[in-house]
Amino acid sequence: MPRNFVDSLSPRPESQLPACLHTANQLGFSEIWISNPTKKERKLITQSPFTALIRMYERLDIGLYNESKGKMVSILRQRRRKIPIIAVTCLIPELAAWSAQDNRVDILKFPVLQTGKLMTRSIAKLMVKFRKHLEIPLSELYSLPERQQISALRQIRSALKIAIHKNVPILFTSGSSRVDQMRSPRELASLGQILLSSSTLSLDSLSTIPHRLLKQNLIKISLDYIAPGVSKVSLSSQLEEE
Amino acid sequence: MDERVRYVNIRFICPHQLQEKDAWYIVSSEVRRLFGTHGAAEIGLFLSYFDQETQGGIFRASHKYVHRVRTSICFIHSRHNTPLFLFSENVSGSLKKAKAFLLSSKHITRYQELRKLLNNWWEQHLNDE
Repeated sequence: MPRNFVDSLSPRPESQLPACLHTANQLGFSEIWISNPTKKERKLITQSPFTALIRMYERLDIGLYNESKGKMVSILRQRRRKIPIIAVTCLIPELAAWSAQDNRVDILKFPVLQTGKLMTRSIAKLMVKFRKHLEIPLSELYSLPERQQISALRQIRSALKIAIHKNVPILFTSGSSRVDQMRSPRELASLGQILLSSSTLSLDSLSTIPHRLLKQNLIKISLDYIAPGVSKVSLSSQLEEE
Repeated sequence: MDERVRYVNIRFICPHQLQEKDAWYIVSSEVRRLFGTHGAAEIGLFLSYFDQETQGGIFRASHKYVHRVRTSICFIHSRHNTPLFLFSENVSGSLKKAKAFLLSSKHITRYQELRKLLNNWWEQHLNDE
């Protein structure tokens, strides 16, 4: 069965979105997560001719660069159960640990050149316990200047080694903001294979694992969801079953 | 186990037309930069065919190291300050099939659409810069 590949994009400026979607479609992606879409982008998504060809979902990306923990909590309170995917970019170990324990957060990201330092064994343990995913935006790696690529590769490999050892689910995305930074899914999987030393796991990180995460979260944000294992069932469907 | 070969189709999108020697130089130098001379030798990279009209090349590589060729493609952005976009289309076990794939109208149309899109984008982007 052919794999359905997923990519995450953050097109900036917003006028790039149609070109990015067109390129993603041509390159062979079947699902796109658009990071922090603006009102204009939401309108473009609904009007896009690619809605029939690619499934598009919103994702919330919180960057903890200058924002305090309080600001992050307020953003999470406002947006939770409205957006299926919530990702946090962590710069400090304390915030990484806090994000790993927050049930509203789905994905943890680290700056490429600090991934190995921040993705420690204790963070990995918390991520497994609270079912978090580790995201590696590959465009940040291949767009780096040559002299920084060596240390970035080393950092990512050490983070992935810990993630595999502790069974943290891994997501590979291009995370590109420009059309010329996008790459086809098989190329991203090949880069993942170099980093993980496993071709199946690398392909799963671009297809099966993100699909599974989205499926779980779409159930969570549906109106019928009450708690894990508890959801509303309409009377008509109940009668049909009987 | 005997080493088998695979043929990887790679398309080149650039504001100007590339020659066969350019295509070979771009891919082989990136492979050597990433994996070193020893790694490049393991891959056994060789440009088997290049169609200048559709800017597509068929690269022969060892079946064990096709992923290295594809990884190298990820890292290519430009050549002599000219933007460049590469993408791999297909991996085949025979040169005949690879050629048929490279010259099929479906894939040429896809290449032309992507080229148009990227050229427009580069024009706008380079003008802005």
